[in-house]
Amino acid sequence: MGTKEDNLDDISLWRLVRKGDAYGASVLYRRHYNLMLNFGMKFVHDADFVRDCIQDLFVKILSSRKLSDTHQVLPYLLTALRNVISDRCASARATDMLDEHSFNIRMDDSGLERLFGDNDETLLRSKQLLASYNSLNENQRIAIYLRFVRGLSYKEIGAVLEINTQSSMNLVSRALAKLRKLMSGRQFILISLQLSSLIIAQEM
Amino acid sequence: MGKDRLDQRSLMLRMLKHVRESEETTCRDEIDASWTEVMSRAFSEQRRRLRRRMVWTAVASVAAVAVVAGAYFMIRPEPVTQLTPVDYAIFAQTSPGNAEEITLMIPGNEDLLMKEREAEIVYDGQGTPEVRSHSSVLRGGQSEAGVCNQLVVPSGRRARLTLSDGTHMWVNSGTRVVYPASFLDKKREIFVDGEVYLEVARNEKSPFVVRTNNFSVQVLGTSFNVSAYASQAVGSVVLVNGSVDVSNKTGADVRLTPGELVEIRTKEIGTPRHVDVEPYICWKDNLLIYSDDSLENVFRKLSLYYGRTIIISPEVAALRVSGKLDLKDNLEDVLRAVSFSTPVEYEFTDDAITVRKSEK
Repeated sequence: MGTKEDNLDDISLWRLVRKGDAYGASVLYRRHYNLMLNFGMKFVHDADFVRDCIQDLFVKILSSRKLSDTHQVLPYLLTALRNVISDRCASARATDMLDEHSFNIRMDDSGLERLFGDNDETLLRSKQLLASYNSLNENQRIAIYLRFVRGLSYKEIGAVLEINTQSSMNLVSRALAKLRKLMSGRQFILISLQLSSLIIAQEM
Repeated sequence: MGKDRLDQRSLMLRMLKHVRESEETTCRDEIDASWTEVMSRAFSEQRRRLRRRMVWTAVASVAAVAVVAGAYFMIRPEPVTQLTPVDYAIFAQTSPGNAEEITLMIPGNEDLLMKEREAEIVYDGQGTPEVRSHSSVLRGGQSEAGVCNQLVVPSGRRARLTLSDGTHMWVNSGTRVVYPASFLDKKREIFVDGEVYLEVARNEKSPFVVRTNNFSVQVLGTSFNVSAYASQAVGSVVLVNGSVDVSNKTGADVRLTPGELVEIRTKEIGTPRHVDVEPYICWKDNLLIYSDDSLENVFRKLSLYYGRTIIISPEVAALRVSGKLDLKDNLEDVLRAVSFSTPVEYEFTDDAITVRKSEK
C-alpha cells in the first residue's frame, strides 16, 4: 500500500469520499479505526458489537449519494458512530443495554488492585477518583476522555459535543474543578496542570 | 504535604496510563480485513438497489422475474478487494454533463482539470499519466496495478487517451471512461459511457473488453468505434479492422468483420450490416460526415460537439441532408456552411442557438 492518499489530511479525504472515492474512505477508516472502536465501547462495552457498528457506518457512507460537507471529519465520524450505536440498540429493544448506554470508562477492581494494591490508601483514592469521574455529567466525561486519554483538541471536542471551542474549554475546566471538589484535596489543582503537561509531552 | 502532592501526581499518572493501556487496539491486518468486508457489503447494497430497479421493470413477465432471480444468485457479490471498472463506474457515478472541464480522476488525488478544448493523456507502463495540452505538461499521481482512474470529457471537449498497454483511444464529447491505470495480467477491461474510437494494442494472452451499460465488446487487437451514450436508446459498434465479438446482457452475441456496423438496443442486438465506416469514425479527425441523414441528427451531434444548446423547429428536423463539415472551425462558421446547402437560418441568443426554416 502506502499510496499518496495516506498523506492527505482528513478534510481532503472527506472531499474525495463525497465524490464517491472508496479509497479515500478506506484511509479514514484505517486512520481512525481504533479511536472509533474505543469511543464506541464507552457507550456499549462490547468490542464485536462496536466493530459491526463501525462497518455499518462506513457502508452507509459509501452508499450515500448526499454526504454533507464538514471541516471536522473525526468529530463527524464519532458523532455518526454514536448515532449508529443508539439506533441499533433502540431497534434491538435491548432495554438492558439502554441503561448502560451512557458514556463510561469501565475498569474492574482487579485491574486497579494490580496497579495500586501495594498501598491501601492509594487504592482507595484511585477508586474515589474513578467514582468521581463517573459522577460527572456525560458531556464532561466525554470531554475529559477525548482530551486526556485520546489527546483531541478543544475544537474537535467542541464539534463532537456540538458546542463551540470556548465552551468545550470551559466544560473541561469545570469538570476538573468538580473532580477537585469531589476529591476534596487541596492539591487537586495539580491534576489539570499535570494532565495538560502530559498531553503536551505526548504531542511532541 | 510535598509527599501528598507526589502521591497525587503519581496516582493521576498511573491512572491515566492504565486507562490508555486498557484501550482496545486493532492491528493493521485486522483493520484491512474488516475494510474488505465493508467494501463487499457496500457493493451488495449497491447491487441490491440496482436489482430492485431491474425487478420492477421485469414484473410484466414471470419468466423475466425468474431470470432476474437466477441472476441474483449468479452475481451474488464475492468479497471484493479489487474494483473492476464496471464496479467503479457504478460506484463513482459522475455524469459527463456535470463536469465543466475535461477531468481526470485518480483515487486519492485531487482531480486534474484541463481547460483546453482538447487534451491528450498518456499513461506509462507503470500507470502514471501525463497530461499534455498545448500550454503545459502535467504528471498525475501513480496508482497501484488494477486501481481505476476515470476520465470525464464534457460536451464541447474531446480527448485522446493512451492506456498503459499502449492502446490508443479517442474520447468524444459527453463521455466518461473508466479504466485501470495499469492493467492486471489476466484481462484488460474498461467501461465507457459515451463514444470512443479505439486502436487496441494486440496482446493475445490478455483479451480487451469494452463494457457499456447495455453491451460489451471483446477484442484481441483491432480498431473500432463504440457509441454507447446512456442518454440514447441505441448504441452501435463499427469495426474498422480486426475482429470483435459484441454481446449484451441477455447473452446474445454477434461477431463483426471489418466494415460492419451493428446497432444495439436495450434488449436486442441488430444484424450486422456493411457501411462506409468513415462517417462513423471521422469525429476523431474533427470531421462530421453525413449522407442522407436528418438535420436533427446533424444538429444533435453539433450540439454535443460544441457544448451548446441548439433549438430546431420540426420542419428543419425532418430535412434530409448529405455533406461534410470541418469541426475545427468555430460553430458559427459551421452553421454558415450548413445554411449554404440547406434552406435554414440560425440565430444566436444568450444560451442557445435557434435554427428555423428560411423564408426564401
